[in-house]
Amino acid sequence: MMLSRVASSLYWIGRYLERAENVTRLLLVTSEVAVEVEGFDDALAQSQWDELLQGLSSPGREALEFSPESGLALPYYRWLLLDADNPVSVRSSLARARDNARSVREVLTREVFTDLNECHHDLERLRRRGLRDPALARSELGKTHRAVIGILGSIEHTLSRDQGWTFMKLGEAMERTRRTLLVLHAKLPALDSRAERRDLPLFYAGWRGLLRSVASLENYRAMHGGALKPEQVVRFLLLEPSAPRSVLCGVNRLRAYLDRLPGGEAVSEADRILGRLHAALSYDDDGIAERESSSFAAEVADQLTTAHEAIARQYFPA
Amino acid sequence: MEWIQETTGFDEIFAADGSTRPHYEAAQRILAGMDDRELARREKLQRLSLLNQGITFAVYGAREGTERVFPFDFVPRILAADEWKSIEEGLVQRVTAINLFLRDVYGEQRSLKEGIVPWELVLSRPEYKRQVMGVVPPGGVYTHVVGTDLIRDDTGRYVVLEDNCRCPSGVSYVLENRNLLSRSFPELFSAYPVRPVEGYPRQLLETLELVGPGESRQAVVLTPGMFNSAYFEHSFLAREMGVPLVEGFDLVVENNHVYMRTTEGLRRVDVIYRRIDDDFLDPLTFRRESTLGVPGLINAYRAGNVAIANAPGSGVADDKATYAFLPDLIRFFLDEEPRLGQVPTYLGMRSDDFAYMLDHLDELVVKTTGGAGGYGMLMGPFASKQEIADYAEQMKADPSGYIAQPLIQLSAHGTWIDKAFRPRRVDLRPFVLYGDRVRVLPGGLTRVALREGSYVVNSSQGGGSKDTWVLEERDA
Repeated sequence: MMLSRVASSLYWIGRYLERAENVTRLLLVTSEVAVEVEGFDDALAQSQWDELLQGLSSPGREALEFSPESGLALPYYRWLLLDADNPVSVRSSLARARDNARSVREVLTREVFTDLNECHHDLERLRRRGLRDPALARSELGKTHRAVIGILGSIEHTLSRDQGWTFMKLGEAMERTRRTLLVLHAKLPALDSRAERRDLPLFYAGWRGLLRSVASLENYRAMHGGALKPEQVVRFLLLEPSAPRSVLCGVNRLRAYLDRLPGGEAVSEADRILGRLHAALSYDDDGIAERESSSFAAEVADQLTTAHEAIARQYFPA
Repeated sequence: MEWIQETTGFDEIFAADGSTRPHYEAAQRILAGMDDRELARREKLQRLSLLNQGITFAVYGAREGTERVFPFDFVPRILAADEWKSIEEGLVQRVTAINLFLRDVYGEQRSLKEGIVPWELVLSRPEYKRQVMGVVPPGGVYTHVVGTDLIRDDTGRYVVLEDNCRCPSGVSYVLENRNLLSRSFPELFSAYPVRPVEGYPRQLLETLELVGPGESRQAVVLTPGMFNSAYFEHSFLAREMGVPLVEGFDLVVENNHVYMRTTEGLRRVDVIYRRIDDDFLDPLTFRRESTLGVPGLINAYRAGNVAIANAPGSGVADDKATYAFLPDLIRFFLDEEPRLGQVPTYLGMRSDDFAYMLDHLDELVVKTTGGAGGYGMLMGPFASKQEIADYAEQMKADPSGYIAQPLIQLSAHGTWIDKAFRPRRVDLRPFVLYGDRVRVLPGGLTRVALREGSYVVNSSQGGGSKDTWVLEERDA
């Protein structure tokens, strides 16, 4: 039993922390790929950043100021790590996670609150100091990524597995699954078209980048070896139940968390949506193989949005 | 390391002849073993720890949501066992009398009829709530939590400055200060038998559970929300007691019972530890426009289906004019002499007093009767002629809304400022719980006016705090 308001805040803490972790990682990975090809193929470097913004549904490039000193990467670092005007920046996500945490502090452990609060203050200090060069940005980004993972560790190791924890994990799984889908939707069209250009090293760099974007390169290699086969990569990210960031794994987690919560009319709708997705992803390989993967990803993301709305209707205050 | 002694008023650490009082000797010796840099390092760690743990308060008037760390001074305020014993006895007596008075005000009104307190003083106050007339809370207890502000006059005698009978705050800082000091200056504790304070949340929960109606005992803490200056404390107490922290819209009244909205539907609430003022509790009974409260709450309370701590209407006892009559009320209800002193008080409602007040504004401290937090007061001895003239005009519009007191020096206590231990003015707010009996948390919150020469200890106006130690009685 818990207050609806508290359940809602915990769910959103789960979502914002996962979002902060995702954006940090995507920023790290994108910068590595983009910095490497910058100079060699400017258009390709630019397209990496464009895909990143698209995959994050981040507001656009017009707001950014580029200069010869800043290079291509630094304005993106500032915009996506620290800018308070960008709703998907790491800073914005952490600030919202912290606002929620402050409003439900009584149900969090000291460890969770302090880690989150400290990370927020560190970013605020960084924002006041400013990011002067890409190397500093890169190292601060790495630090922030470890700090966010530290918060997730505190949640894992100090919170009791009660309803509150379940709502937080529900939010986390929802966000993570959607993020994987959005990355697939944003990156697949370009990756496919590059195959036409027969530019093999870049072609594989692109697929490697995709796997790294969703923290799955090592996992993929452990299962399928070092050679990247595009079709296999897509199947892996959609259908591999043991890969923590695959869509099927996410759907299974969402179902398991919902199972732990009290039932109700609205939430049975979410159950049905997730059940259908589970069946399709588990048993309908052929059906999925026929689909165009990018639009399939967008469609699944929409269904998750509907499931989210049903969950909110059931448990959260109007 | 330099220690500077206060020259006016009472110094907590030094006797008049300049010698260190015996119970401060060990602390002074231990601090003398650390140099500037060491002390600065530890102080910085303390500040960072407070910020990272979010032990902050919101500042009104500043940008919404502005958080500030409540400054903490590491030199502990130390109370010897016998010194504390007499304070404790005085507080027990006082809080007992306050509750008898409240029961009387909302019942027979003997103390008004017999002229112990002028009836117009009580019944005309906005803190008097006729809507709860005749309601007797369980055990006749109205104030489950009281914070009484004590100061020390020139001779070191403790006197009551005011009682806080509505939603006294600060107890979370008592607990967090102890926690902080024991981590940053563990050496200090090894030399003293300091009485623990960590039992407070458990005792508060016991107190709340005692006053619940019937068998079930679901308690909640009711907060106005995150932007309230004391939000940290509300959240702290809920977490320490393991009960839900609710806001007004989390609660709903149906059939005169109070419920909270949960993920499993509505759940009964039996005891509300409210940190919202009476006026905002229930828009159906008190202020209509309040969005912080719960419509129908007072009806549920009148029906005996929910307990509210402190009881609505308790504010009548901590009114600054009622204060003047507390010694008489103690004699009337308990047939005892008051154990704690008071500050002489002039009442604007008495025409002689009011005339005196107007003539002596430059030497008096004037306060509004219902005010709190140091807002709206005049410190005559420090005010300009213009400020005094303006204030006098304001007073003439509502004489009975003001009281005045001579400026009491306030004792001074060594405080680490700018590489020396400098005397700064302090007060003391002990916390008193009343369930089946009156219990006093050893010590309380010592607030310190950090600005040189300042007498205002409020956190909103440049105050800080200290860890406050009550020493265990040692066998000789």
